[in-house]
Amino acid sequence: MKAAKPFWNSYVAGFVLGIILFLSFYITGNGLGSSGALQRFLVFFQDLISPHHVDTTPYLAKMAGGDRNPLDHWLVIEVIGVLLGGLTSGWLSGRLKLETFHGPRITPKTRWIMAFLGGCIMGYGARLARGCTSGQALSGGAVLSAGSWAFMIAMFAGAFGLAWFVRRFWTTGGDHGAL
Amino acid sequence: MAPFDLTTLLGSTGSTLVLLLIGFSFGFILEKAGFGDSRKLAGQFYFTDLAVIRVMFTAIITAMFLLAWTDRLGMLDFHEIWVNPTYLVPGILGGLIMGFGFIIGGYCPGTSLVAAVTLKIDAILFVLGALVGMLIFGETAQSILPITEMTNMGRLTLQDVFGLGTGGVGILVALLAIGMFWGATALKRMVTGDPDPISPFRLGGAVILVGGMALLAILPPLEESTLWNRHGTEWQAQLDEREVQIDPRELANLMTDDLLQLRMLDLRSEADFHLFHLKDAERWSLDRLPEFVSSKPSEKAVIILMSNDEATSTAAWKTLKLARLDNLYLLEGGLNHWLDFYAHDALKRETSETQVPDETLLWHFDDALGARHLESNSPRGHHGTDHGDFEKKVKIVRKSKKAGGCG
Repeated sequence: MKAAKPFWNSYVAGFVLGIILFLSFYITGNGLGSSGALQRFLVFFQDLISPHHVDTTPYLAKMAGGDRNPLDHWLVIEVIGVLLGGLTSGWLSGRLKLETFHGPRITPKTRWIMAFLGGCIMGYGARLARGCTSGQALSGGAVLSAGSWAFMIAMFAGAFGLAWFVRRFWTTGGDHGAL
Repeated sequence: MAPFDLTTLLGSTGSTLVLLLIGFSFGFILEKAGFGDSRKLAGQFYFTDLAVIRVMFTAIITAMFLLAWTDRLGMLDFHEIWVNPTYLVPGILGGLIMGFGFIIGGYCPGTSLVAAVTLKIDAILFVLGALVGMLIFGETAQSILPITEMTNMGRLTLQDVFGLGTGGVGILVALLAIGMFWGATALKRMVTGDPDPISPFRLGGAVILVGGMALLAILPPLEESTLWNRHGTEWQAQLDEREVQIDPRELANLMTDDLLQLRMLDLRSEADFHLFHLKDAERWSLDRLPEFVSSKPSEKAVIILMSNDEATSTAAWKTLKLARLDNLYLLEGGLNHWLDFYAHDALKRETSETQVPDETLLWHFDDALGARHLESNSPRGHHGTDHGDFEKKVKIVRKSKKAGGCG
């Protein structure tokens, strides 16, 4: 198996990402996004199972009520691109491998539970905030939307604030200072 | 001018390809940056790995810089760019919750997709969890509606909040980012013992960034004529085709319509205004128009601009159009023309229009009764003249909600 290639320098990657973000705005008028597409896939399936329920729930009806196709949205296409791009990069870099990333002090199984739980919380929060780090922080941040910056500050505050309490899941616990 | 209507330009296949390409690049660079690894992402919050803030904020300030400058140079119309509407409380609450989710789950939606597609089991579970979380939200959204809809401030930028131009805000943001990088790097050195020296490229980049935003800040604002030439072709055509100049009789009808939100902006001098003005007209002036725009007039209101003739009201129309206001019209022939219909001929001055400067009130009033004249409110000022037919031009436009952002 070939060795994985190193990651790019963060500042360089950030710069390139910034160009991509800018080009997205320049060409389409919209930035990037992720959570909205996930939501739409979800509603699409909900609509298959129970269209009546979707029609009668205002939050869902906005996207899929009646004849509306929730997948007919630029976000969905963009996210398919994201999956393809991530896959390609992972494959080219030798990082395509079935595995579980986890902190040194916990088992994969614990990590699975935390990942799922974290995902739930994230999914809920993303809908409440009307976006996630791609849609609100990156895109909203670049256009200087006040709400997006408030969101960003809150998100970092939440993550940093809780970090110490969940350090067991991520850190080595020994060598480096208090953590 | 950017941005473009892709479907019109390239057809649906073409626009799909472009979107796929943009998404592909996004996913590719995320994976290249190592964002498909939850340990790297979580490391940010213990200062062992600064990839998150370095990538995120470098991307934000790069895009911000490019957007600001292309707008300034007329290569892009920032008003056509999607700016996430600000819902302050749900945004902050949602952000906090997402922060918790980030440090517990180790991913955010975008990065989890990239990690999942490279077969990381924790990421796949994260994505499933996210779907469940969204499911729960969708099902309970109605019951927390007051919270999700509160503090909607619409399209609000930091420029609006701080009262600064884009350059000024850009400098603040750039300094904030640089400060964060510097501080976080110092903390990382302490925590990991890794020297992580600051390369000349980083310093150079910082200088260009701050310098570029500072330059933007000190440049004088663009002249209205420049902006009009860049953005106003369609609007100029509307003026030339006389599509937005409404007949006084149409205004008279609008004034009696109870269901309509009507705002009449009278742009004349204080003296003229107090002498005579229309009932419920508001006194404004050309230099106070920015104030009017900042007050964020209701999008449902129909705004009629008026002056004695049309010169001033047309200038105001252009200014407000550049501020992207809709439902904007001006009174054809101005108040002089209004009074042609609704005032007694005897009140008209003897002077012919060519002998007096433009925008002079050509009617005489004994007393400065303001809006208390019969003529201020057409139905009462009806002097029996045959009012005939006129072309109705007012069409109420509701800004269609553009499908932007993670919606």
